[in-house]
Amino acid sequence: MKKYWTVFKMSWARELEYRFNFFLWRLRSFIGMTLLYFVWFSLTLKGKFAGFTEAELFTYVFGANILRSIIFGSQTRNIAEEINNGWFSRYLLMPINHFWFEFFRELAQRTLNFISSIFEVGIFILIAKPNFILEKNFSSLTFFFFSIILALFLYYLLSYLVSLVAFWSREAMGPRFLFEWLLEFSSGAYFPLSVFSEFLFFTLMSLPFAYLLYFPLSIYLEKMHNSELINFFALELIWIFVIAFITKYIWSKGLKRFTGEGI
Amino acid sequence: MIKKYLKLWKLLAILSAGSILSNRIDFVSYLFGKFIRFGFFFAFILAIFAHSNSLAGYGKYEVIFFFLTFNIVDTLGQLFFRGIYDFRNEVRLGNFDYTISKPVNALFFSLSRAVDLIDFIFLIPIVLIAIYVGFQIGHATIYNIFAYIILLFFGLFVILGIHIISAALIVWKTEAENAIWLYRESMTIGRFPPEIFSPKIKFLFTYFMPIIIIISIPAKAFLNMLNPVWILISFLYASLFLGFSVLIWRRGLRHYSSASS
Amino acid sequence: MSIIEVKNLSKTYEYYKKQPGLLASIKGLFKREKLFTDAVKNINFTIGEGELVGFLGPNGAGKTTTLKMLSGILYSSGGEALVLGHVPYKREKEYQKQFALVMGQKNQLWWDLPAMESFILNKEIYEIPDAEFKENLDELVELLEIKDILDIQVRKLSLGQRMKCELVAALLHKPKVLFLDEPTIGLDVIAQKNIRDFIKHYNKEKKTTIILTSHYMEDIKELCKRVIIIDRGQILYDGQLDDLIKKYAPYKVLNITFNDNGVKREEIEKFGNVQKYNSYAVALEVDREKVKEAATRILSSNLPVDDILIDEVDIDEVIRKIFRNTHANQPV
Repeated sequence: MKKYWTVFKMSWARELEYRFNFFLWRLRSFIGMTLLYFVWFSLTLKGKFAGFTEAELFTYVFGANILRSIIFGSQTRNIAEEINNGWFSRYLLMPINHFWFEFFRELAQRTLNFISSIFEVGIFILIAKPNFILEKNFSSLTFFFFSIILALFLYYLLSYLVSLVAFWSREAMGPRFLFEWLLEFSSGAYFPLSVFSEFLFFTLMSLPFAYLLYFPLSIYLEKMHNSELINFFALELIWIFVIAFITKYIWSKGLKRFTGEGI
Repeated sequence: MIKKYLKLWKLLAILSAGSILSNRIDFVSYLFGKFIRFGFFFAFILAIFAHSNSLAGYGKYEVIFFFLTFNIVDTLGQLFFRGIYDFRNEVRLGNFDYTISKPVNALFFSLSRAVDLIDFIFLIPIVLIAIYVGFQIGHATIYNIFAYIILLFFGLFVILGIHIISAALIVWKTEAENAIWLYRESMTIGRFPPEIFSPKIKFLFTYFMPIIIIISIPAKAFLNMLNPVWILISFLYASLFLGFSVLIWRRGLRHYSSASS
Repeated sequence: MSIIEVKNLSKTYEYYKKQPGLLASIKGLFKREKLFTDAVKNINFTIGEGELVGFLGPNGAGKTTTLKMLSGILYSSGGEALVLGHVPYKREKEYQKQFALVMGQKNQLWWDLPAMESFILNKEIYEIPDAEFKENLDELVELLEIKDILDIQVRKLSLGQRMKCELVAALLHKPKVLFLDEPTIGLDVIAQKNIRDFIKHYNKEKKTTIILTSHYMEDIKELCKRVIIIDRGQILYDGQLDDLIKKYAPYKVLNITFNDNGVKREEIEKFGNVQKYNSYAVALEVDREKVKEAATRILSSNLPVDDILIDEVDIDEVIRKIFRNTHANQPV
């Protein structure tokens, strides 16, 4: 366990070095948040929008910004790169589990992002002074917290799986791009998925992506009835197991294929 | 001379397309990715109008038109000036030396080296949809269409200026990262009409990171909502900005030639 | 008329001292220590048409800087340079169409495409007419034997193949002057030889003026009659390679092997300077005029000689000696 903590610490130091990339990542979040804030502001001038109040929508936007910083990451891009240039070989030599190694590596970046995003949201609130909701219901908060943990793992699994494409192809940036935009849409990063028609909504909820952001946020905003809640949690857990299984399988297949070419 | 550069551009575009197509998985993924990105925002706008009749005073087709204009301008910018993203590496690895030792304009060559075939493919349906939506809105006159196209041009000049400044920074300061990303991230606010923003933000994005000049002004011209004085403002801004950027580039290149090692 | 004229050419780089750490970075915003490096100091030389000159020197000596100034990539800090009557840093199109630059380890060829595509691109850039392009291309392709690899993506080619393609790309417009910066670096022995043979042949046939910088003595020995030795921005020697050897190594080397019980050092010392010694193999430096005499004496002595060879001084040794001397501040 200690070695993973060291990984975390080293990765933290490294992240501070890649300041520009970090800055850019945060800028993207901030501008996105600003844009959405104004969109919702406009749409709720005359009252509720799709059953959401102004405060709920603003909370959704801020919440999405903060949650994204923890749940979404980009370090896993490096995995594909490392596989492609052969650097990956050293993991096979070390007494270390690659999956968990990368996880802790990611964690450092996410923690930094998280701190920054709290800061950003704080500044924004100070300047714009919007209405927002601070949830106080204990059971909601517990479920909320639990859903975030699950979302963290779910995202990591999905992202890791996509990176494994690198075992089969030199081209990993394209699929990554596709994956990330698919996520933007279906995770509810921009707006609550419930604004869609019932059919579309249930389709999205049967896919794993909705559980990354929409699900936690709707728990926080108390938009989920208890029965729905249990069902959706179950579905999410099933997805986690399925994807974990697929990942393990693809990993072993990919490893066989990996010839350590490159260096 | 112009003929030479046109021929050269065409060749660079073909070569770049060849390069892109040789990476089939990436090609398909990016193509799909861009369509999803487009489709997703489109769906967002449709969803908005499923629950409301207006966004900042604009109707559905008008908001869609803003969004399409954003796509057209953004894609055109990428189409012509995408070389900037590889430029930093080119300089860092020393390959830029080859470029400046050849009888070709170094700025042109570096920016035009990465014409994106995918954007080109992407542009066609976008323009078609834009024409359709334009008809739905209905009341466009020849003047509106003309103004729209002219202002798009001015907007493209501003985008060119931004790319040139970014290239100049790369060549000037070896530690400078790719400033072009500031532009790219800011562009996203052009997806929606500028009236949603507060006056201060509008000001910022009109004069400092001129997204509004690039996207919203032309769109408004088409929608017959533009005070004609903006045509003049846009022209002046684009000319000054472009001129300024070329000056910066020249300084940067001089500096490079004094300091490269 | 000389093709390349360099008078008092100098290049000084300025740079800032950068200290590590956050505090130093902040301080650096206000006050920075400016330092200067003289990469090239007042060098002079002229090169005539058809010459194949080697620039030799350790890393950082100023070879690449000089080439870059002659290519117009860098501005000089002082002095002047004229190539084909043009001032390089002005980057006149007419000048650029008459010279070519090839840098080892840096490619101008597009990575994901076959070399042929890059050739066509150069055709357009240098405005080479169709017929001429075809003629030059065929000739170069045949000389370098790369007909089969023209349609393969450059990134899939070996280093040697890539270098050949780089050379073709550079020579398509039949430049009168060719600057080669470490063209054989990183190549295997056979590829190096191929490239060398090609350069030699090309220079002889086309009378192209060539400046070649290299670390590898083999390149210089094979190709250049004339060498310019640069160290720390200054020219240490400019002249024929043969003369260099004669001047700095006015001796030859006797490589003698012994059998039986070998020899003691004192026994062999009297015949010349001992360069290398062990009881069964000795290398002896003897003045050129006296070497035959020395060999005869050794053979007719009662030393248990097995074999004796009269060798030319290793040129690497000579060069190394030159640098050692300058670095120890001895006059050259």
